[in-house]
Amino acid sequence: MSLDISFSLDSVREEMEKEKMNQTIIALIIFITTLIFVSLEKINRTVIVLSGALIFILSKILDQQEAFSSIDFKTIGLLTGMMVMVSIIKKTGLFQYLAIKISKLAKGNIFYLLFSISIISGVLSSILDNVTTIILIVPITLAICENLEISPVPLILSEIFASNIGGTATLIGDPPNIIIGSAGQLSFMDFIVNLAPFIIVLLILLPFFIRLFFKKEMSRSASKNWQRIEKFDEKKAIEDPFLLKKSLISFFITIIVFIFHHNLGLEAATVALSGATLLLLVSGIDPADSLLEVEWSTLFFFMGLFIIIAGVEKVGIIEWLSKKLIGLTQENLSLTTMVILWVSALSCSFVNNISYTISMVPIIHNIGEATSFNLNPIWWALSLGACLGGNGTFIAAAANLVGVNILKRQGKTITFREFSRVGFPIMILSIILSSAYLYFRYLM
Amino acid sequence: MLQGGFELKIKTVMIPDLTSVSEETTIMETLKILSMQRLFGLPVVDNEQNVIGIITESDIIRACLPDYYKELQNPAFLPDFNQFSKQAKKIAHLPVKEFMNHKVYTIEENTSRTEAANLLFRKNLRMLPVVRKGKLVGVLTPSSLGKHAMD
Repeated sequence: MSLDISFSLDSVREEMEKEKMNQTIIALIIFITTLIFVSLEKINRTVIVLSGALIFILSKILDQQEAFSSIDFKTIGLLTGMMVMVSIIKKTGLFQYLAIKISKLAKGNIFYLLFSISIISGVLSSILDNVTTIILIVPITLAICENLEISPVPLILSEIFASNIGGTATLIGDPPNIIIGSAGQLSFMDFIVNLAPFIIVLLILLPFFIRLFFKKEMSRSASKNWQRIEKFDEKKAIEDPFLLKKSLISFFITIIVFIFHHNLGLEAATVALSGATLLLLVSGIDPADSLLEVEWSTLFFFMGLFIIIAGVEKVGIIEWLSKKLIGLTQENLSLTTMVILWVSALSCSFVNNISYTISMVPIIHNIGEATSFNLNPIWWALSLGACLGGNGTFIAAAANLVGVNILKRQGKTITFREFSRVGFPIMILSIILSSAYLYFRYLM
Repeated sequence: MLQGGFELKIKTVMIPDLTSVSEETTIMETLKILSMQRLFGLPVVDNEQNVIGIITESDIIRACLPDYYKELQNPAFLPDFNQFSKQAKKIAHLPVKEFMNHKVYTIEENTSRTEAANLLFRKNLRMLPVVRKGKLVGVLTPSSLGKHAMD
């Protein structure tokens, strides 16, 4: 009799093990298929991840409660708030004004022009998303180059690289940072203190590096037609001075609150959504119009991904991966940090950095639980790798594709190879410098 | 045409004007025809009078602007360097096929007026080539359609 019971318990356990094994296999298949389809870009990526998420729920790997609570609404809230704010400030023409004003400082020297326009791209990108930065700055650069009768290619490539680099500097500059900030409880100021100083150095080095690749273009003089650029009237770029004043004040207040949000006990998402509400209130713009400009597709892409990763985590794949990683690096923090940095950079040269970062977050949480590591250097390594990896190839980041496409419409095609010829070395160099920075600042 | 009541077909209200251009017509000639005929656009036809595209005044204006203008959120900051006339001179002798819309709405001559009005309204069209089995037989404009209905 007792034998019988133990036998049936064993069979139940065996049954459960088998069930779990099946779930793990299903989860792996969904995850890998989703990744493949997202990178093939034949079907819209949001539709793909939402389908993946749905399969996780239908195959009962996740129950609905787990699925919905896995969506990080702090990330979604911060993204939405920033999108609304940017959609309003964009209307004022402020960013064009700044771009023209800064470009004029070059005084006819092409390298100075490259330098000033890269810096302003980096700075704008640290508060705007990278794609918006490119959409704003590239057309102005085209207008400048056309009038100077010079090739826009080196300048625009530099702007693309600068937007990816600049976005790394702040919590709100690039989606991976938003995800990392929420996952690692890192504040706006944490990013400013830990990443911004290094990013400023990278931004200053960038134009010098670009010059090495475009010696011929850089040696040309642009002083002949420079008076045309002087005639650009940046004040006319301001479309609505009254709206500008109101929105600038609101934006300034929001940034100040961002700086202190941790001390005030406010989530970054709360600040961004408050800023958005304040801007809607003072601008009098119909929220229906502003909300139309929110990239809902991107937001739902995030939501689907969060659910997929929760499923992958639940079946134990993430834990297994983290254990492997800890075993591989022999519980050495420096080694772990470097592995995360380089793997992130190389992966994000080819795959989308949002899906990559969302996948890495639970792995890093697991590492934190299994070891006594101070996770901060690892979070910074993930941020630097995921954001700077975007410069590796033109498929790596949305900003690259958008920039290259605008050039294409002007009849100047940049091939995958041409982009990588400049982008890949820049990415590698920036990661070598990041390794040194992380090592000397956090690991020594 | 008497099917359960009298229904006017497009062929009775269209302008039986066969003015059209070929793919190889230059932009300059096209503009001359447009201003002479006071038309907003012209059907582009092949040798057999099949409608293969349409070229409108807006297409020509767009072509006269430098490419980077189309990317700018607001080009007001640019002073006038005569870019417009420079670009216009550049495209004057280029053929229509480089600027025409290949996607053209046409309407069969036996379609009802309501359907034609609906198409003009939905697609925000200012003229609609009327065809018989793909071949141009006239054009329909909102005013020709409306005027005829009100008379």
